[in-house]
Amino acid sequence: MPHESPAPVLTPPTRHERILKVLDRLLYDRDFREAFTTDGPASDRLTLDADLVDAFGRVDVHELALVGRNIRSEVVSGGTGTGPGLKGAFPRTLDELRERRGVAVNQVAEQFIASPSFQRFRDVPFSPYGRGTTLPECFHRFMAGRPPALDPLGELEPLVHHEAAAAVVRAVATGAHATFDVTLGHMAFHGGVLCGFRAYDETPEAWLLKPTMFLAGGGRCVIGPARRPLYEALTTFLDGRLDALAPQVRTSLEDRVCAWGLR
Amino acid sequence: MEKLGLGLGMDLVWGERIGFEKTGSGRPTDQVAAFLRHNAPAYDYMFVAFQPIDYGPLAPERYFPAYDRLFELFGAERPRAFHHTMLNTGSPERYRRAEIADFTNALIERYGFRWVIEDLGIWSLAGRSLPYPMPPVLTAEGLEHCVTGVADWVGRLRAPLSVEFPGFTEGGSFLVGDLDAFTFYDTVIRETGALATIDIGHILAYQWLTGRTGPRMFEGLDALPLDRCHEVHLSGCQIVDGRFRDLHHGVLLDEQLALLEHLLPQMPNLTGVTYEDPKFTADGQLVPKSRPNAERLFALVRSWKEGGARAA
Repeated sequence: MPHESPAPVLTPPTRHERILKVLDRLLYDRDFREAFTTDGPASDRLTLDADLVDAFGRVDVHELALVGRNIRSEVVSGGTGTGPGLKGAFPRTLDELRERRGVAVNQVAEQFIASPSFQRFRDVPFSPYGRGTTLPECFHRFMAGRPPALDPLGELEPLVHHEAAAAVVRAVATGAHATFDVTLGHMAFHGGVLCGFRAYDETPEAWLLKPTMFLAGGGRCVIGPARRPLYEALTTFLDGRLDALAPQVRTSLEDRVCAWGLR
Repeated sequence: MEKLGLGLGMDLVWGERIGFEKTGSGRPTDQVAAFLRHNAPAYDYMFVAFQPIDYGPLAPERYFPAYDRLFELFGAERPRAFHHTMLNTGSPERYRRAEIADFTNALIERYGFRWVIEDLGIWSLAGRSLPYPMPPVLTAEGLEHCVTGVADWVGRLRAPLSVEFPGFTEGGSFLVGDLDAFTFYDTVIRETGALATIDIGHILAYQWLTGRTGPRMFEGLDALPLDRCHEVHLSGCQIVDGRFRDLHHGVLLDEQLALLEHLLPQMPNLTGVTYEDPKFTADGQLVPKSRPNAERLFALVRSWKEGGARAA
């Protein structure tokens, strides 16, 4: 008789868990929040379970709107947990979105905050969800998903990546690896140093994006133009595979890593 | 705990003028140093509110240079406490505590903090910091989470934990759940053995939110654990469009002093009254607008400390 695994038993979420889910949407989903503000917790647009309506009956919608605005403000301009914010980390991307596509930074932020990508952002590593990813990396993930109202063809992705990678290595240089995991494409740890390289050869001339190397370690970061062979030799060196390098290359790399303060 | 008198509470953000210098190994800014040189003797104890330097490791030695200098300026061996912001005492979800407890206990050991305070708030939810701590979820399940969490902290920390009644309308928080906040707080304090800290602005914010304004602000206070109140906080507040705002801008309202005067005789185990987040100039003087009611507060506390029930 063939062995059949028992179907997993799905426990329905408790009332408390459902309350937290609604609270999360009130905090981070502008459309949900506005429907709540306009029509109250019993609104057909919210489809709250009947046993939750009472729990949200005392929400002061004026304060709720302020909370939403404060969260957006921290994402845009920086604050507790959000580091430099989108304005500090993505000035060129935001310029492109505003000047060429007519989308203001607050609109960009609202869409980002309501997206699944933002849910990966966690600046406090002690919740049941564990460590998070940095805000810049989450924003890159959001834009790489080609949001229809912002960049449906994904044309901006390389620019977003360049700015995200720079922000991530700056954050890691201040010790952020204690709080965040780094999963951004084209980046990996080699011998304790975060390394990234991308040629950006698919980008428009006007962006002036050159092949760039991103490094962070020892409380320092290095961002600058580089060629792939140099980058590959450097990661080989950082990995400790010294036999794979010619002696003069090894010495040169050792000098550079030391001068950069990465170790 | 002995009666200490007037306390000074300072929330020192890294990189701000009233804060810590981020450069070097860290130290209080010149403005903070000037304030403490001029004013420290006027206070009987002080606490510092925890602000993380950055996203880096929660390692106590990263904070030692700045805190060493801060407490040296206040006066070696004078009473100190620690206002935490990472315990997440009002959290409605599970929370990993071991690392934070180790960090806090290392600070307690080095500085001899007499107690640790934190507002019964949701400081972060699902791992994301909130712009202002939200009040706990006021349901039976929310209460259970708070009691479990606070009791766990009481057992882990090597100094008494004093749990502060949360802020309710700090320009960015709202009520979830239908339980009465005073009763909810009283239950948490009594069931966990924690001490109670009453922030007068937070109490007034809840009173205003529930319509108990003006002379009605004295109603319902019996539900609070006044007999377990160990410390009182007062910070600058404002009433804006009928809403009570806990702005921490240094300027105390008449209503705060009136409520303090009303409550002092009802708090038999009170250790001290803290002026939290005074605002001061570059040369360390209280900003002029804050002085009149700050002086009234100081007189009130002096009178209480000396045993009188009332002050002018």
